[in-house]
Amino acid sequence: MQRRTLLIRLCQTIAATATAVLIIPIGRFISAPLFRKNKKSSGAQRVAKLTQLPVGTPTQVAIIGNRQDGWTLHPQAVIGKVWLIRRNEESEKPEDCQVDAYSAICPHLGCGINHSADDLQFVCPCHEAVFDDQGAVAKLDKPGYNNPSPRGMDTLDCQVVASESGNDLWVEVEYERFKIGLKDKVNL
Amino acid sequence: MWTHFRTWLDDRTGYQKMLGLYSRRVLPNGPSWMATTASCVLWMFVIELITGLVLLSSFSPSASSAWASVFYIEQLPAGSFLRGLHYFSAQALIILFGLHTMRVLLTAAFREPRELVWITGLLLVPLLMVWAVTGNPLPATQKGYSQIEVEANILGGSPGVGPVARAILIGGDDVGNITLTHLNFLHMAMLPLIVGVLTIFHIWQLFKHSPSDKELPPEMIEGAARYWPEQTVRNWVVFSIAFGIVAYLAYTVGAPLEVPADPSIHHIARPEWYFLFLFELRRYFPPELDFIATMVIPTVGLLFMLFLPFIDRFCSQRAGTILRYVIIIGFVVSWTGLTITSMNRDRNDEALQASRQEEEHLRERVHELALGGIPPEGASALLQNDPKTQGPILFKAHCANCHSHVDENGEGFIAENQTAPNLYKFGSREWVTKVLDPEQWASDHMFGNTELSESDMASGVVDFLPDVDEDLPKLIAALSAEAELPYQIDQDTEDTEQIAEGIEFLKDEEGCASCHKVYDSGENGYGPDLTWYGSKSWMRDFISNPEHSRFYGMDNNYMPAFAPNPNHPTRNELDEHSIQMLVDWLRQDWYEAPETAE
Repeated sequence: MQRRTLLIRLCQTIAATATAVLIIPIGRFISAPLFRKNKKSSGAQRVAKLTQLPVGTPTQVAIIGNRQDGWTLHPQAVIGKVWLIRRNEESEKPEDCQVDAYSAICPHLGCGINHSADDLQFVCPCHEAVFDDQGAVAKLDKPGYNNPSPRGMDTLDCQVVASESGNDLWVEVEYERFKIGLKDKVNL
Repeated sequence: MWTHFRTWLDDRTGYQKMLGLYSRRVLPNGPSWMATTASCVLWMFVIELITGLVLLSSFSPSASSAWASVFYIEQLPAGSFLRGLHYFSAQALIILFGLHTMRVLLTAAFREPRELVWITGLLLVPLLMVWAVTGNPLPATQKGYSQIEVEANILGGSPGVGPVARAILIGGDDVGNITLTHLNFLHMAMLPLIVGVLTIFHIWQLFKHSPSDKELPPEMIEGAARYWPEQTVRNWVVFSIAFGIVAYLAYTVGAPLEVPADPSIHHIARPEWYFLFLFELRRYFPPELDFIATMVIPTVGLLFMLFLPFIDRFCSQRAGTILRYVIIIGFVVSWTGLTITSMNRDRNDEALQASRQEEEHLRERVHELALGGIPPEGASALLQNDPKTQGPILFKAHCANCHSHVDENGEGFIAENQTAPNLYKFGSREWVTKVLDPEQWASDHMFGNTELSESDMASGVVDFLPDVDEDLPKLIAALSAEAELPYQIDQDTEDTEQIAEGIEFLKDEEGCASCHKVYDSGENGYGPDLTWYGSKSWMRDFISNPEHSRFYGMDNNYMPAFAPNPNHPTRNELDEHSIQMLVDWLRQDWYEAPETAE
């Protein structure tokens, strides 16, 4: 009886060890995406000349960068879209120019936000999230309307800089992405 | 509570009776170490299925992404280990399967009523082989592609259904994307299904014909050992040794990932070690009878083995034993002999070894490049667009007849017929120093063997240089800076002031610019344009057409124009891309992996 118990314990030990040798690596393999560090922002990049932006009307520009998709590196691909709004007429001193930049990703569920020229509002076409021209959560004028977005549009760091030659003024945006569906703006 | 649940479950499923089949088996002859092979095969097979399933989660079966996805798996945490397990378990499975078959032969376990156990087991042999064959090319390496190419042609060479089977497997004439998806389908859906069904049948038959304590007379059960745990513990001890070896190899060596498939790489195909015996056997047959070695002999051997239980019946006790030993010893001796012969032949084949070494360099380089990111068109583009590896190939083919490319240590290409300068570090300060030194100018490794050795440049340098004298380094720095060489960037930025002064010397109409165009000074038509001398665009234009008025014009010596027809690319000896690769290689302008901070 003693011997039989011992042998059974030995069998169990072998089975447990072999299982662990498989299960632990598999767990690490499968859970890899959870621990992957997100790339920090690729820094500020020039997205438009100031003169291309009309005052007060939002303009959408694409952000170009290297997009790593699993094992593939897409060089110079569109990695995001940004709404720019030029707030004043100033076009001489870069420090006096005022341009605001908003990520086009809707904080509700991540659709791309459009701008409606009729109502002068940002509207997300998926679930009717509406934002005013300052990117804040707004209302639609219809009965029973509830804005689904947990927060206003995500602002991005944006500044106007002079080109090396000094002849042009460029709008520089630092593109970042934020977690969807939260009340607060949290970096991805 | 637990007992209650077990009763509830057993009432509905009867699982305890099923488990009893296993746990209540008795061993009238006692436990044995010999009998452990079956269990080892089974569990190794389970390891193979589990690891395969996990790898499948991240594998992409397409010609442009297969290699990249396997490389990606290798980078994932534990990915290299799991792929290593899959790779080495497969080979362990082949060895264990061989041992298991021999053990069954030794103990004559195929005898009545177990003929079907034997037959289904034997049918697994070719299926396992096909499983290995369909797995090896999946990472889309040049090696894997070459292997499946040959294996498909062997299949196609068999009489009758051969060509049809080959066309269906390959999905056309050439190994490519369709082949890969077909192999993927066979490897991951078809074979697991067929082998799974056969294995289940095999094991069910085995249990059906094994004595349990319900069927045996009491006096046999009394004192007889039980399968669980007496035999089980032996099974698992042996299995853990095998699995230990596999896990050790997976952890330390890992599965290889050779160069991505690329028709321009010449790979000498060899089968995996377990097929070498057939590869060697082929050599003893004339080419038109190839299929006898590769198809007929294995098939006849398998058929003979399938019928063995029925042949065995007609043999006396003694003849049967002799027959079984002859089969085992015959197979082991011939397999080992053929395999070792083949391995030794390859080990002593210098051309093969050189080619393997060349591929090893390419493999290291492609892994380095892949870490920098794999482009959407796939991993084969990494090497095709890599000057470091493409440059030497192109230089050897098109330039090395006249030009050497030899560094300070005498390493590199030595021209067969040195009638032109050694192009090592062309455009660098070292190079320009040699150009402006009358002694070196006229030597064999510069312009000594060209008509230029007699030209005005030779005397011009002698006449002009004394005026420059202590400013010569500035002149050298300035002319070399025109090339904007990546390996000289630091020096060039450091010496901005000297370079600015040096440029003025270059533009001196009494000096350099009396024969050369330098920006807006001087004119073309005598010596080569020194504006952007040695830069990417200058070198590209020069190689394309040295007879252009910007360079040597009609005075050009032997240098061919490699791409004189910008409007008719097909008429040129070299295309734009090749020239770009050459130029970047000469300028040592290529991707290097960033130094990893330890």
